[in-house]
Amino acid sequence: MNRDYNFAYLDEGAKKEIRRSILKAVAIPGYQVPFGSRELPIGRGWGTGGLQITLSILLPSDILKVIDQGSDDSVNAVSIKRLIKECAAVGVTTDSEAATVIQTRHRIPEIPLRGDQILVLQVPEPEPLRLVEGSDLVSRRMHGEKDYNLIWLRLFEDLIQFNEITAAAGYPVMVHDRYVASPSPIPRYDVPKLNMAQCLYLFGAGREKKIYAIPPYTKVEALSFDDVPFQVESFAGHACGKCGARDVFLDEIYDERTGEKYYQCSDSGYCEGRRRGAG
Amino acid sequence: MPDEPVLSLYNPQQGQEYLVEPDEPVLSLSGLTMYYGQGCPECEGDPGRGGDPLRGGDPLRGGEPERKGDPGRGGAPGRGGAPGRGGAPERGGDPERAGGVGLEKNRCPRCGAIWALRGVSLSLFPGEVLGIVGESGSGKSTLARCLYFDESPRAGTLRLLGRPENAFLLSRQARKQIRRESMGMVYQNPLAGLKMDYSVAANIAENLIAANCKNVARLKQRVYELLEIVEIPAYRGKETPASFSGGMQQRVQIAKAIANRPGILLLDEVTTGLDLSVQAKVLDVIKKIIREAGIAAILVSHDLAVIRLLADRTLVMLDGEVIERGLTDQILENPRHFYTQQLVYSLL
Amino acid sequence: MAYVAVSGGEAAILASMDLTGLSRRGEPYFDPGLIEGHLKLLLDRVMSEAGLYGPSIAAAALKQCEGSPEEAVFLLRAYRSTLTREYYSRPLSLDNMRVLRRVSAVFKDIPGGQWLGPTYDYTHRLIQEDAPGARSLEKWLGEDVDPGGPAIFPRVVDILREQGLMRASPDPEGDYFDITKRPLLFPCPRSARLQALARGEAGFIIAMAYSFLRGHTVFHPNVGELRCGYVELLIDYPPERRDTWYAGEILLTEVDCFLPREAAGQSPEREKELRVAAGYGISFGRNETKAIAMSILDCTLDMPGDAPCHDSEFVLLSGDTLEMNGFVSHLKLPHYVTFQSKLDRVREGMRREERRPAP
Repeated sequence: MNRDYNFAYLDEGAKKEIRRSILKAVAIPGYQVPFGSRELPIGRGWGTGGLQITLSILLPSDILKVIDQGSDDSVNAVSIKRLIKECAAVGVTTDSEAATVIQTRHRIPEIPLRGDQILVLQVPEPEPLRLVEGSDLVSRRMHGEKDYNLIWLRLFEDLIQFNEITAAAGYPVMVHDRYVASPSPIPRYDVPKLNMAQCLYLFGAGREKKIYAIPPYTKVEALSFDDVPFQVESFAGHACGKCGARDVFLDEIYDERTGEKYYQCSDSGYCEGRRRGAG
Repeated sequence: MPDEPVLSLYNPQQGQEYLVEPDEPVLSLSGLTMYYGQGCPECEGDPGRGGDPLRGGDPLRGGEPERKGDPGRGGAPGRGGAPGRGGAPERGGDPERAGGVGLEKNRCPRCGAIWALRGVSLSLFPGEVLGIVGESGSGKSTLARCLYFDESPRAGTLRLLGRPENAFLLSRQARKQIRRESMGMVYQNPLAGLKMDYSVAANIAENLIAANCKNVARLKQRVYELLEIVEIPAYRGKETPASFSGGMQQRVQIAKAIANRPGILLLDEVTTGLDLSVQAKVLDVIKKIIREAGIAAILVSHDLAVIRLLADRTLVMLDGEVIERGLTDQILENPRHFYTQQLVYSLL
Repeated sequence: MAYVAVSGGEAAILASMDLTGLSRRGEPYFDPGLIEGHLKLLLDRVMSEAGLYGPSIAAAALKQCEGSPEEAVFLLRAYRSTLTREYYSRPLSLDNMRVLRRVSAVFKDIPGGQWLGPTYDYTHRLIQEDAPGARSLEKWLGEDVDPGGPAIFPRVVDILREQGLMRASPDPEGDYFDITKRPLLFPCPRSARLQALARGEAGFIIAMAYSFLRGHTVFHPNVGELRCGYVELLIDYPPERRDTWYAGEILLTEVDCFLPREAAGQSPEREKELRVAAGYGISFGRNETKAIAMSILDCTLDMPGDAPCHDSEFVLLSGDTLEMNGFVSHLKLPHYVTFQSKLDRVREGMRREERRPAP
């Protein structure tokens, strides 16, 4: 068996193709670019899209951070980090300010990213219209005609039935006033970070074979009615048990021995940094 | 409501009604031709009748691959037909479509094409109700569907609301826009016009949202206004149309159709299949709306009684052609074409 | 150790992998060649779903994952991703198949004859610890038996075509779609459809075909011809010089199924005509049921209707082994942030209910 893998596993032909798809995605913010998704040693649905993007853009000088649910230590993040380290000798870090490429599943780091950083997001379902339309052909047509009425109708229906919008994570956003996109299953808390950011956001869906992007300084708005403001998750009254932070997304945890409920920073790197800074 | 009464000139030699109307028509249609199959218009021996299929593009209905019968919905399936209607609503089928019994005589013997409409022309003036009457297979529902862009005709020119271009040739997006902002359609089958997995309120609001109203308070207000006009209690706004009776479903469709205050209302066999008492209620609502809103309407029905009740002018269709047209009263009093006579005399 | 540990996640993973290694080590040790020799049909299935013909690699994969077809297909596809693709072979000349088995259900006898070959169709499914394989082998090796039959078998479809009972198939498109390089977008060309079906997960493909048979007793398809045998693989190399290399033989099963149905008329009357339509199925190895199922789906995907077996998007996108297994099993991954978000909505709803004045 061939154990001499190319730098970053994928062959140069595959990388070239994926980079071309990335460039097209950056040129058309929010538009889902179909690409020839390769099979990788990790499962479909386990991050192959994000991984293909990361592998295609990595340079030997890059410093990589991989998180899942905000944590560097999550099983999925660790597994992906190991695979990348095995076939690409790049530096790794848990510090989001030191990383140049961050691959993430379901969260955006708390500290805003800079212009020299790229955030690669893993996306299970790239099509925001899947909520209301099952057919790919019809959804593509809707994007092409900028006909998003059905999604608005769904949001309105929520308001009629429940008096509030029930869409939780992965809330649909309008990118650059043209395409509705799924921000991947990040919590609503992270959606405002997409708007007018300095960094580049790349989204990879391996199983569904789509890549899309939000370039720096792009207008990104959550779909919301004029008189019903977009609501983010509330952690009022709670703070991180380890570092005391209050204005971040918190994980709700039940102690394995005592069964007691406590809260902790979802962004483990951020928490670590605060504790280090505190002394 | 037009400010001046409609004037008419009756020419007995030509056997036709001429209408002179100081205002512009809201809708002007000429030469609407529709056939199914690989027809060759030359077979008809009249090159003026047929024509190349319009390049206007796809009809707005359908577009889902290989799925017939289900009116353009994704997600959860609807919850079945309406109770209280006579017989199951047809799923995507229609006796006028290819293969239906009524169309055998409309078949070109050489090329096998099935003709639904042959060069139909009409005009609709503001504030009037134009009735279109005919039996199954006459082409009247196809006509309504073409006007609403659910189907793309093979030939024809449609001018709407003073615009100079042929609406059939506009892009999909443009046609969708016109449909949402200037037209309202009530289908015979509520499954075709309503989304059964959304609430009645959402159904009614659909075109309002599409017209870019993103203020929930205003949307709700307008929805409840409309529910009142069609005499549906406001508290039922949260329910889905699936739990409504047939007549109520039609009234929901009506509310949805007029939500955006369109200039044109299309009513396709809206009371067919309903009980007589229920029909009366729906027709009352329609009458009230037309009177108060001054909307122009095209009313398609095979039932001359409905036409008599609502229509100012009437077109009689047979085998895809208009065989008689004129003021409803005059047609009823003095039908000239043999077929019209049969229709009128059969009216109880 | 916590699942998403505060610390030590890496250590937990390493320990888990040790346990997996322990699980896959059984006694006595056996060589993957045993799988190639004794579990051929499992091998065929795995190669078919991976879209990679390599019996020894497939055997190694099966051994590595304790015989799980799901994992083995995964290993093979991932392996294939690392291989550079040098050439496209010439289209296979299936007419020249070295036939092992060839039967037809539509005619009692056919030109070239019905050859039963190796199959389980006539065995009685009684569990026998000592399967009667070895004896037959000696018998065949000992005698000098003329296998009989023509060198090349004519096709049953050609019989129908010559008599006008079946329309000639349209010319294949010049550019073949390669689903390993391009994503499937709909409507898709037939080459894409056939590839997706050929690689589809066996259970899914067979179940979809079954759903059609259960629902449509009016349209009952028949196996027009089933052939199983070895086909030569020829590669034009290098392209300019037109030399042809023989790369070897691969074992394939192909099926033509027939289904009388209405087709658009081509005669001057332009009537709807009743003709026999054919569907095509093919698979690596001896996956007969899957090849038959594929041929049925090739027919049904052209037919209108509401049932899932007529919906190309559904059939072609839901049946890939890696995608279905990967996505279903990914639910085991941590989802607590998204779950937290959903809890927030539910709690908000509950708070709202509390605030509402009592009626």
